[in-house]
Amino acid sequence: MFYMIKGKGQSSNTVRFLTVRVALSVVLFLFILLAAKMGWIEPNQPVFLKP
Amino acid sequence: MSETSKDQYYVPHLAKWPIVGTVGMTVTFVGATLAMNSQTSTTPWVMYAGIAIILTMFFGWFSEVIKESEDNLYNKQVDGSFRMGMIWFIFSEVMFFAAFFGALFYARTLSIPWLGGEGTGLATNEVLWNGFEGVWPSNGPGELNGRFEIIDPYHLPLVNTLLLIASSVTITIAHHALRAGNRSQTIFWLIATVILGAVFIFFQAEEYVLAYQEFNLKLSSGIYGSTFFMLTGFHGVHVTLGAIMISIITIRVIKGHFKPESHFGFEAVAWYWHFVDVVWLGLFIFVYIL
Repeated sequence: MFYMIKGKGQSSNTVRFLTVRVALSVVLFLFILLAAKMGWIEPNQPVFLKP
Repeated sequence: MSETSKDQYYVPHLAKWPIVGTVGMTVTFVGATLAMNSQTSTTPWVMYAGIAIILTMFFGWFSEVIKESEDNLYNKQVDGSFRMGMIWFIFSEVMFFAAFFGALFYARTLSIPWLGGEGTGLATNEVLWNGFEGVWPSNGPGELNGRFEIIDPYHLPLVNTLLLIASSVTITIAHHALRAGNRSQTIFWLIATVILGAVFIFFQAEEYVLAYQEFNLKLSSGIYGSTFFMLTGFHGVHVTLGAIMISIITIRVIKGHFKPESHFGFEAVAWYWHFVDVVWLGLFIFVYIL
């Protein structure tokens, strides 16, 4: 948001910020996959359907 | 009189679109009210007419703004106004989703445990909702609409997450290409972004069909169904809107609009798309997985 205001037509800061944002999302996604694989997180399942 | 000097803030001579928009909104709401309160089958047409007026307003107003921009009528101050407008718009969108995420967190961490007898809710549970367990996903006291299954996050939602993250990567590549003055690369990556968005919407529709037909998971399936469909549904609407916006920007790039040093129309849409992607990551984690 800051770079969006301050960019003033020269969007080098904005595009750099957005690139970092995408990179962080990719890292978060990979971390979710790792956490699921390692069993750190377990998806929800309704209690009434659990065996 | 129109002001064309770049030293001064451009003000159009005749601003008819705000009035057209006001008329459109009034007709839409009157039509919606009539449709909800009347038994006759003709009344929705008033609402459709209102929506048509609003769409005409959008098309006409945006066309004029694009033309004014291409005619080089805007100075730095106008650019600042556009930035402010887009910032407040995205802020309002953040608050919109914050309300729905807030409802989800409130239900999960406060109201459902209370109904289950936690804290000061013991009497509530004993007297009113005896036997209700404060667990998530919940199908509510009294098993509203029966039992349901939930969507496996590691199937369609995982693919959709990949698609949306990939689309953010492609729009960022397009952004870099535009700044480098490479028009054909910009067009290629923008089209890739639109395709990824369209595939996302298709899979989301598939998921809804699966939820309704196979899993008995519906909007009416208690607090879980309500929060699930409100959050994912409104997000889907935003992806659809974003994909339309990117399509328009792609057409503008093909027509030769935007310069490497000045392209706020593109930037605003890129911001919007990044926002939609971040919301999805929140949905994937807090609605689908946890």
